[in-house]
Amino acid sequence: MEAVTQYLLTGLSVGSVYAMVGLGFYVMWTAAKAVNFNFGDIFMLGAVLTVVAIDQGIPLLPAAVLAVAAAAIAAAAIERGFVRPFNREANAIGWMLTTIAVGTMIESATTALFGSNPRGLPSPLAETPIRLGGAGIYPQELLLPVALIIVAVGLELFYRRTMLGRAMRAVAWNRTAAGLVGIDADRITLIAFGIAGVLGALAGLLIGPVVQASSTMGAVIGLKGFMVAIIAGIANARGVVIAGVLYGVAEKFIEGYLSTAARDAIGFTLMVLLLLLFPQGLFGRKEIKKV
Amino acid sequence: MNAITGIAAEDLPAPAGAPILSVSGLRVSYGRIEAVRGVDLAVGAGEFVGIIGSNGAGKTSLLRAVTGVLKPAGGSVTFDGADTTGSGSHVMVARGLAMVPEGRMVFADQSVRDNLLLGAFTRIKADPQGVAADIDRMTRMFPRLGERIDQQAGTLSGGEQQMLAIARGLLSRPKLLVIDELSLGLAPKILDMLFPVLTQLNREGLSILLVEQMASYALAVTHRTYVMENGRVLFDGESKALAGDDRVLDAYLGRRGKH
Amino acid sequence: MSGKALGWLALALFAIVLAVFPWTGDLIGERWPTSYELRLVIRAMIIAIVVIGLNLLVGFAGLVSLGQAALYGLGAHVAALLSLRAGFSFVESMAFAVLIPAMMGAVLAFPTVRVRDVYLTVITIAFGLVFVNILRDWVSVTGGASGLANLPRPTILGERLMATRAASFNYYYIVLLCLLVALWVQYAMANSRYGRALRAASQSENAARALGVNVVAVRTLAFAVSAGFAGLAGGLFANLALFVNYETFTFTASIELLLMVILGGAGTMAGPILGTGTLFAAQQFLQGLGEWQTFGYGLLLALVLFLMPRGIVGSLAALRARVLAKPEARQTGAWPNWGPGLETITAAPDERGQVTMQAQGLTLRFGGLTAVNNVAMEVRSGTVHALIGPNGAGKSSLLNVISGFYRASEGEVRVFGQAVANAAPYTLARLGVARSFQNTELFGQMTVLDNVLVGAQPHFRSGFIETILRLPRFRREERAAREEALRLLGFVGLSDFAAEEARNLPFGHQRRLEIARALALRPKLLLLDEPAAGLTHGEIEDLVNLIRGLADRGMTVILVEHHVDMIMAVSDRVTVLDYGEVIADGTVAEVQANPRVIEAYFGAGSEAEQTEAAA
Repeated sequence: MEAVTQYLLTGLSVGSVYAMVGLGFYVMWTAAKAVNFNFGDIFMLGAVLTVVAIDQGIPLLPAAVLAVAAAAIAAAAIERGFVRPFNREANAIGWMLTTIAVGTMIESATTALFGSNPRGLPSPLAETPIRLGGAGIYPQELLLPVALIIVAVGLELFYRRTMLGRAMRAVAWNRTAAGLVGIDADRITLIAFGIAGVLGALAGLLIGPVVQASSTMGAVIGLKGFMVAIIAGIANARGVVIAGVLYGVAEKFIEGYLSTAARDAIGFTLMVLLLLLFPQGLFGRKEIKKV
Repeated sequence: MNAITGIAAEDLPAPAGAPILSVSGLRVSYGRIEAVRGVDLAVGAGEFVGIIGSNGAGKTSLLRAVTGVLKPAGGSVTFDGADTTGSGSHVMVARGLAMVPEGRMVFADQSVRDNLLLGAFTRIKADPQGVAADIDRMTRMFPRLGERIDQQAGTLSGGEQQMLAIARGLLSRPKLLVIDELSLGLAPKILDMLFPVLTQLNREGLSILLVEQMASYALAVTHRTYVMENGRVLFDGESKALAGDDRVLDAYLGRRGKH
Repeated sequence: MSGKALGWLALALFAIVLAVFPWTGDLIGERWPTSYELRLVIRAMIIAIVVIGLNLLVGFAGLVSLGQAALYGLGAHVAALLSLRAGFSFVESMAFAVLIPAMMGAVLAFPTVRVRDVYLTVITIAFGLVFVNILRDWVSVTGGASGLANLPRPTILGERLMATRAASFNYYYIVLLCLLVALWVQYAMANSRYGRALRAASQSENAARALGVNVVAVRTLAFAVSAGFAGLAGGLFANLALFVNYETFTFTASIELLLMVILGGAGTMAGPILGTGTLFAAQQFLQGLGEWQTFGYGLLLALVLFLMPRGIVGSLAALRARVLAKPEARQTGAWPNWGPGLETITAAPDERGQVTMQAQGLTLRFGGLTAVNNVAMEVRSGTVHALIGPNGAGKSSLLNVISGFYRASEGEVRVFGQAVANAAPYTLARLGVARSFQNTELFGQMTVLDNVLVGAQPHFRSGFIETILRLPRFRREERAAREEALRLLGFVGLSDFAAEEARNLPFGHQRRLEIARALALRPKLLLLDEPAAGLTHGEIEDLVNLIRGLADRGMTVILVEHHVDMIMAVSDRVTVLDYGEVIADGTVAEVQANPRVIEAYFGAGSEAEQTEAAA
């Protein structure tokens, strides 16, 4: 029973990270029908830049804010420089390769400048674990689901209650129609990538104290976030949250009952199978193919 | 003097002012396909102008170039005294040109109210009260929208969606409203209700450019009509006169040389 | 010199230089190449084999795989394990090193049935990660990080295979031979119906399906061949290094392989060689960058994508074309041009007076929208049957049901007396249903001739092996198909444009080409979706003659059209749709006089009557 509680709690925590990264993909995809393929690097920048800022003597909270802002700007810049020029035609895939290229550069530059060793990200919430229903867990890990709820609710409110959010949904629905009510769809897309950057960087900096910050921390998590978003049906935010959390919990149970080593192999295989069974995603809507 | 119709300018109803929109030599291509092959067209301030013609005549492409949805391959567009050739559609809306697109294109996943708010995207920051008042006005003009104000736009019927599209266009307080295929997929009963609304809006001073496949409606409500075929304006003239013109019917049903 | 002759010359030079390379020292009297340099060249050749396979996927099939390194690793591990643990000989283990990855590739192709583009790429990435994960953690089989070491040295007929002077560099030549074979297969596949089908499917999947291409099957084939090459290279690598572990086959390696394809020029014959060679040379330089090496890769990839998205060969070819381009006076022929040999096109029509197409109670719904509502319609063989109606009346939807693109929600369609409600478009195409598309769907980056040849696809009987070995039946069929395609180009007046890329044709010519391509199927039933849209009056008259001529020779034509003049001139019978329902059906004159038709086009009410009265 204790083991189950432990898996549920840690799974919830890591699942929240997948969900937040997945939401980042959701925000990018809805606005642009394209994503930053190496979005994991934005996630990584959130944690790494916080450590760098702390090195400069900046206190934790302002350092975190600076890091998220910088990562968001980087995310928006990638949209402008690497996605937009390669996403002119429907079904273009050039952006996939260009974002992989820029992601590779970011990751290796970080390795060179930041060092290849993981660094701790100090957080008062990650010092002593607490006991909860027989399971041991850092408060920092419990912060993640809370952050996820805040982010998901905030995103929902943003999309429904603000003009910018409505405009973003309008662009997602129909770029032409959005233009015809006076919305500059290109600008909205740029902002969307920036918002996605905030989500990704926030996830990175929140998990940083638990897993340590390193240049390679984002690669696999970015891919998992993308897969989670895809199997949820990438145009459904609630689905992405549910799929992300479920995947995190499933991973912990696989680790616990099968083996840590087989975690990703089983997890990815599972996701590929789900995608084959539900090509539109678990919560996605069927699109009518025009001939 | 118009070479084709033989109608001199003074025979037309006196335009209320200088043209709000004038298009000259406009060409539109999709790759190598030339959809519009040099069109001249003008809408006077306060005028209600129609464009009719069979499918594939280039009407929609012409509108798309005028409203900035796509860039013309040649020619020029002057709107409200400024050269707007090649300006994006969001710029055109800000300048006072709104469009009700073919197929309505309402934001189906958002509420009727949100659709209307989006229609006011360019001015809502500056004038939130004015927007609220305009939304009230729209719900009086189209009571069915008022009843469904919190419903998702996608759940509306075709006619209601068309009302929403018109109302959404009006919320930017345009100087010129451009409407593409008002009748598409709508039952005659709904059209009999929608067209008088346009006439009323025009009487209140709004300039309107209407592209319409159903010639009878367009000719009945507009002042002046252009007839397009194969990417060109075939002829144009006062709508009342064209309504009795054999060439119009022939262009539609291919009844050539029967008179 | 023609591009083709130039290519063969370059290939011969390339082969000779590589063949002589190990012995260069004897020629110049120095100890060169060193064994390090020799191994570098062997490794480059091995990687080039993987890249050739990936080029088939990316360049021809338009499918981006980022899991290719895993297939390469699979081949390496199969070869290593079989020779290390099962004592298989070199040849035996190599055979499995090709087969098992090829089968894996076919399995990987399965997702392309359901998902496309980014999703597919993500699946290949996931496959790669799962593979490396297994290699790393299944220590009892793969040795984990310490890998599989001390593989037995490969032998053939007792001869030890090594890349040393003592062994006359025999292993070097085996690798070179494999590389040349890979190049040949790439060439033979690209210049056959398989290559055309792959390119067609990637440039316009719908058109390919409408022309009888089984898109799933050719993509599976491409994946299998591509994976087979990766496996072959993997086996060669294992037997060269005599050591394998997972580190060689990571995601980064997959990116490098893709970079080589794009750098060289995706979809070109020489691209994989140049891409691999250039990147290997660049690697020697990038190694000097130390920890910035990966950065260099990223930068290089970005630069290539921005500066020469068509790669080295693609850019050079474009340059050559620009330099050599001379303004050829190309004659557009008259059409339709009923020359000799065209009888084959209409050789087997449906018997006169038969019902070629019959729809009953046909209904098509999209979500809440009913596009086609309880339509009954009969088309007799050898007639031109027009389908008209206002915008959004459901004409194109109906055409899409008949050609298998949409599945009817209710009701039945019979073609040539067969119920075909659930048949795939390619099956219908092979039965003899051809179609054109509203917005011409040509294969833009293929030549005009190749476009027509795709239509000839279903007439081939020779299989894949015959095609790769270029056996007599393949040659015969290919020649016959070419002759017929050229005749068809003559028929629509495009003979002079055979070598032009289809996207460069003016619009009217594109319409002609689309019709010629559809006719290459030798259809019994031809569906034309607004063939006159965008044509000039003169061209429309020619089109009328062509359609009439086909019908007079027995072909059945269903025509969706707005050009009223044309409908009146060409149709035997007209069905009018409005709101998805049939509102009139009859001869041209009957339909023209039908008040419901006039109302549908003009609108109801007094205005319409006025206009009517005035007319």
